[in-house]
Amino acid sequence: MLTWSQLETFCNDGQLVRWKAGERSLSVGGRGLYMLTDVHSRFTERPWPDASDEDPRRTRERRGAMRNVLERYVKGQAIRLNYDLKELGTLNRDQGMRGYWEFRSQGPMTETRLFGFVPLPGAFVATDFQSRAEFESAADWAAQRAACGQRWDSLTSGAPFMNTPWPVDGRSALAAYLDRADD
Amino acid sequence: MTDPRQLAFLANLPPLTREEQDDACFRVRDRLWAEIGSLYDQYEEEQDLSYADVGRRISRSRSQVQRWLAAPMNMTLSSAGLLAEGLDADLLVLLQPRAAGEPMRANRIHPCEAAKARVEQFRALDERALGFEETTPPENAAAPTRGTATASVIRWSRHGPA
Repeated sequence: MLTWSQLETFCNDGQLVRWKAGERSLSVGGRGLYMLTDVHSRFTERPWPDASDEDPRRTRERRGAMRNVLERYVKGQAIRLNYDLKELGTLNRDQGMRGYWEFRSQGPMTETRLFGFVPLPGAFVATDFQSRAEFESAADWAAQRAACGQRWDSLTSGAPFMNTPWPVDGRSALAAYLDRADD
Repeated sequence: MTDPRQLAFLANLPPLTREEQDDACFRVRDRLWAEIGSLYDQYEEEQDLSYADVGRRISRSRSQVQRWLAAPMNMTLSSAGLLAEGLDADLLVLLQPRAAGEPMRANRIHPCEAAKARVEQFRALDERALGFEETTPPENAAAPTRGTATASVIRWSRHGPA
C-alpha cells in the first residue's frame, strides 16, 4: 500500500491534488481525498457532465450535493455505504471490480460519480469523474474500471490498493476503509 | 444596539462565493440526511429495522420513509424531525463558532504529516548546506487564521451519543 508521505509527494510533483473542503470550515479527524490533476480540473471547472440541457439551478444543486458528500468524507463525518460511497465489486461479487469505488451524488437531478481507489485506510485517490448516465451496460462499467486501473498503475507504478476486507457489505467493513491509519 | 466593533471580524472576511453559498444552503439537508440515515442503517443492520417499521411509528407509508432516506434532496426539516422521533433519537444541533485565532484547517493535516514535513524541511536545509540537491518540502500544516462558524448535527440515540 501507499503511504501518506507518498501521496503528499504525488501532490508536490503535480500528479495529485488534495481536495479541500472549503476555505474556512473546521476539519477534525479528517480523511485525505486526492484527485488526479485532470480529474480535479474537471471537478472544479464548469461545465459539469450532462449540464448542457439542465436547469442551471439544478446543476448548482448537484454540484453542491457532490461537494457535500466529499466534505463529509474529508471531515471524518458520517458516510453512508452504497449511498455516498460504494465498492463496485460487492453487489455481484465481481473480483474484477474488487477494490474499485465510487463516490455518489444522489438524484433526483443527474447523478455524478467520482471513481477511484483506496490507497490506505482513510485516503481516496480519484481517477475519474463522470455522469452516471454514461454507464448503461456492464461493458461500460468494465471499460471504466480498466481505464481507471491504468491511471492508477500509471500514477503508482502498480502499487496495490486496498481490497480487504471484502465484500464491503456492512458498516464494519466500510469502517476499515474509512478509519484513518497513519504511516 | 450592537457595537459595530463586535462585528469587525465579519468585515475582515471575504463575501461567500456563489459555490460557498450553494454548499451552505445544501449542507443542512445533507447533514440531517447523513446522520439520520446512518442511524437507520445501523438499526437495519443490527436489528432488522425496516422502512415500514419506522413508517408505522410516524404514520407514514413505507415508500415515503424510503424516499426521505434515499437522498438528501428529499430531506426537509419536518421529515428530519419525524424520522428522528420515529427512530427514538434526540436531534441536537451544534453551531460551533470558528474562534478568531483558530488555525484554518480546510483539510486537516495529521500531526505525523506535519512532523514529517518539518523533518523534510530540515533535511532540505542540511542537504543545501552540504551542497546536495534541494528538495521541496510537503505542504505545511501552518495556515492563516479565521473567525466564522461551522455547524454540524449531533445524533443521539436512546443509547447515548452515537
